[in-house]
Amino acid sequence: MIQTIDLTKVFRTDEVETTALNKVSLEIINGEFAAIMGPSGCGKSTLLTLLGLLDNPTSGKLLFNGEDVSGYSEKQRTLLRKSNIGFVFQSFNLIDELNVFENIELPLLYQKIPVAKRKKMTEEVMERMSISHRRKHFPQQLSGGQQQRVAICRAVVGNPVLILADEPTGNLDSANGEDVMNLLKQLNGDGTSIVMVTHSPKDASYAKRIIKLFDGHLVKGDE
Amino acid sequence: MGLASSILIMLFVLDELSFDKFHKDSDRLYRISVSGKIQGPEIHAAVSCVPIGPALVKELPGVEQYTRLFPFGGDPLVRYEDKSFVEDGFVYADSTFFDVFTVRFLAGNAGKTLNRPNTLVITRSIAMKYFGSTDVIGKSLQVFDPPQQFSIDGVIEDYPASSHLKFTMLASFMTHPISKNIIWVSNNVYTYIKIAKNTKASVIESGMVAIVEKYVGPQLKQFLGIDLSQMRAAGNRYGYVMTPVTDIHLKSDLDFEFRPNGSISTVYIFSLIAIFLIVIASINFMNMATAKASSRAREVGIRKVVGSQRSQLVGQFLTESSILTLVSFLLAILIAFIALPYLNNIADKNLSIDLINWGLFVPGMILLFLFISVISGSYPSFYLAGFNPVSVLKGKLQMGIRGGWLRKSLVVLQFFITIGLIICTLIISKQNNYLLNKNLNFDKNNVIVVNRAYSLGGQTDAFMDRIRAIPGVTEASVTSMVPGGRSSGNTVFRREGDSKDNFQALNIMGTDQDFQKTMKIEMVQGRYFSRDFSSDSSAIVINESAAKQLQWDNAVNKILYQVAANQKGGDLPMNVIGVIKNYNYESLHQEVKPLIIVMQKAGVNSIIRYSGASRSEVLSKIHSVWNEVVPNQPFSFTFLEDLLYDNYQKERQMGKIFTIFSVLAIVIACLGLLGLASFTIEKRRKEISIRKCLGAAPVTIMELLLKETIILVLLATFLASPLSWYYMKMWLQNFSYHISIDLGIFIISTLIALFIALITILMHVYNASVRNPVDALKMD
Repeated sequence: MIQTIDLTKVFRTDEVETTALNKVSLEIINGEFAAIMGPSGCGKSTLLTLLGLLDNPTSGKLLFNGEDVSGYSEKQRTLLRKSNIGFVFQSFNLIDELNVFENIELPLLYQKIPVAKRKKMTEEVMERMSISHRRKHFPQQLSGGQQQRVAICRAVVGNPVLILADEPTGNLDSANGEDVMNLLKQLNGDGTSIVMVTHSPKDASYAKRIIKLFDGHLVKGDE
Repeated sequence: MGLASSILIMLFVLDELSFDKFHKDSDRLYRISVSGKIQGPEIHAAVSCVPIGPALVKELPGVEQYTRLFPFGGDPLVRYEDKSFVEDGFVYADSTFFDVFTVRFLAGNAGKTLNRPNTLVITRSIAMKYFGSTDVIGKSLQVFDPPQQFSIDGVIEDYPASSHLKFTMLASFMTHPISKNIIWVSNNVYTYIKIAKNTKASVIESGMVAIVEKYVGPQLKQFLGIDLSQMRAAGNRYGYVMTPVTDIHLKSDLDFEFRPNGSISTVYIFSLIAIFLIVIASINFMNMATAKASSRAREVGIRKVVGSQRSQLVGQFLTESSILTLVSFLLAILIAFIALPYLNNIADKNLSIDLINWGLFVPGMILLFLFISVISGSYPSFYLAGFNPVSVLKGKLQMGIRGGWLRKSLVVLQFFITIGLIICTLIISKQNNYLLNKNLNFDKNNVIVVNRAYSLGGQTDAFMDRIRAIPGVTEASVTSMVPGGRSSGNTVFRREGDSKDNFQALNIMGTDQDFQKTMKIEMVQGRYFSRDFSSDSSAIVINESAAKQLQWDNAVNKILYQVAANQKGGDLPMNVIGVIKNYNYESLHQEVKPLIIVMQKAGVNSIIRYSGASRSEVLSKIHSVWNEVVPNQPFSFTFLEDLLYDNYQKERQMGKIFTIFSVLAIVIACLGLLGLASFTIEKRRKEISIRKCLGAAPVTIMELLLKETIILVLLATFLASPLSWYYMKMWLQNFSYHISIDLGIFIISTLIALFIALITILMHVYNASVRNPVDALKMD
């Protein structure tokens, strides 16, 4: 589904040039559950943002379903992203002013799905993730685990083919963390591809494949 | 900038309020004005009759002194040796003038001037103009017309501009024949009295009722054949009103005011604007300081951790705000000083810093300064000092909902004021345009008005014949009243068949046969005066309003009697030969009142219509004809268009001032909005990033951010519209002819405000919406 060829990202400030990713080539196939691991600053999150089409690489190619998207404009990336990719963040990133239902519904809004269908899809996903009873609550009224559950709902509501998770358990205690990992595993079982950045070997053990990064280089893959 | 404008406005207000306060005992000075109704319309004139002044002093013990003023009527030519000028400040006055009003003598002595005929007191600038010195007692000036010799027995300091009176030369009242007038019902002089200490004005006013009975009653009987009680029974009134001299400039708006007065509502409005500007400026200061709070939050957190108490922090922030306020105060005063000449220019005023009563001004400014620093400094100080140090240092800064609301209300308030001002500005400028472009039912273009045509005297016919012969002149006429110019007064008339006591006062003017042709006014019935009818000397033309008031559907050949006008004091019959279309012979403040036109061969003005192309040529020829016919008289002219334009000087000034304040308010409000926008965007940065991750396009984000501003501006419009509508409705009532306020103005004002608001924040919003979402999310 996603293939990277010599993917490189360089951050420049006025004086310093930092190579966050250096010629990374890998492939994520349909139905995959991959964990990206590595020490702080190795480029994990950068790789994730590139895979998530949030940013363009400095050089190299990024193929999405066989098409090179590395030179896409922001508008094109947005279009591709909103119907194909869901995001889960370490700090949940829910919008405080919106309640649970509205938070989950948000991506559908941007996909211009009609109201009735939007409502149905949102209800379904809340039912599936057992969060329906909290629908009117605001993020600050929920526990961390519940918030991440809502965030996952939001990530999957549009039926994306790929979920990108950035340390999804990082802000959770172990019980809630396990809960979230089980949810992800269940989603993967239903056919959604997942790429997850994590520090935790325990979380990584849920994945089918582990990609290790060190100083922007791919250390070990299995292709 | 807000402060600077406020200071200027305060100067203006102080000036308006200071009128006539400089007189010693100014609280005991009153003007007597006539008020009543005799058949026709209500009479409220600033003038009264010649004998009332002496009678008041004689009859009422509370009246200490009186003085009477009588303007020359037209502007006389004054000559000393080879120097001659037309003077517009020549006024006849009683010698008691100096007992009532306060002036400073440079030469001569208050008790010993103006008490002989043909004596004159002049101001310093007149003395310098003619003699180059103020030591001119005993010298004399020639005054025309008729030629008279006045000898100077006093020189005074220039009379202050901050008075409702204006003069440069005072001639002894007894010189003028009118001073012998004993008629009580002929009101043509200005009478002022000074009342004794501890005497109430109301006592004098009630005393005047008896004076009306004693003096006016018998004369009414004598001249009009009815007595007071009969007159009152018919629904008429007659009496006098006292106006404190210090109130005249701002509160008096009678007919025949000595000169155009100011208005108290203008003073209120400007005071309000000054307060608004200060409030807005303070609000912005507060807003920006609070918005900056997030960037200073860490500082506060650290200060608290190292042991600073809340009160110390509040003190620190208050000190900072005071220093900032002090700097802006000094800047404001500086700017005010620099901008003062420009303001004087625009407002046609002569304001100066001298107006400031330093004893009051300095403490006032200090008070204002303290007020502003505390008000504008307090909210941010308490807000900042109230941060919880732990959450601040952790980087979690919760902006309270309450703070958000406060900040939004402040922006709404600013736009409320701005939109209100924009609406007023638009309405005023629309009305001003209307005043200049309304169809007046005569053709105001290509007309030269020659002033002082009365100085042609017996030569009028010869002059007019020569004028008509000038190539390019199409029509020419003499008239006692130029449309839009000074009124030529009113006279009492009676319809044929009505009883002797059923008369009415109607406006009257005199013209030759060519007036209607020259002005291109339509006739509705009958014809205008013509050289073909020798009987026209006893004929009259009336306007449509007059026909309506006299209840004549077909006025031609009806007879109107001019009361007590023939040689024997009997009523003079006048035959109506035509009805002229209602043209606006006064300014558009007035509706077209009934008008009687009589035929008259000489007039105050000569009006000359020329064909468009040859304006300057025609003018120079008219000038040379004038010089040949009356070589001693200075030639003075104006274009009719300019004369009409000058009628609305006050309105244009107001328009200008409103425009300036609107622009100011817009600038200030935009600064405020900019502060709010950057604050909100900073606060919502994370949310924006999340939304972008989820697939929101930049346009969607911009919509989201602009929506808030739009709602605030619309809310402000909603609040401002009814208020400005009400105020402008009041203003428009000054005019008998005015525009109607339509919805369009409110829509346009809103659009202007929205447009400016959106432009202001667009850059910010655009930057926020295209920012890479990764940056914000990485901050976690």
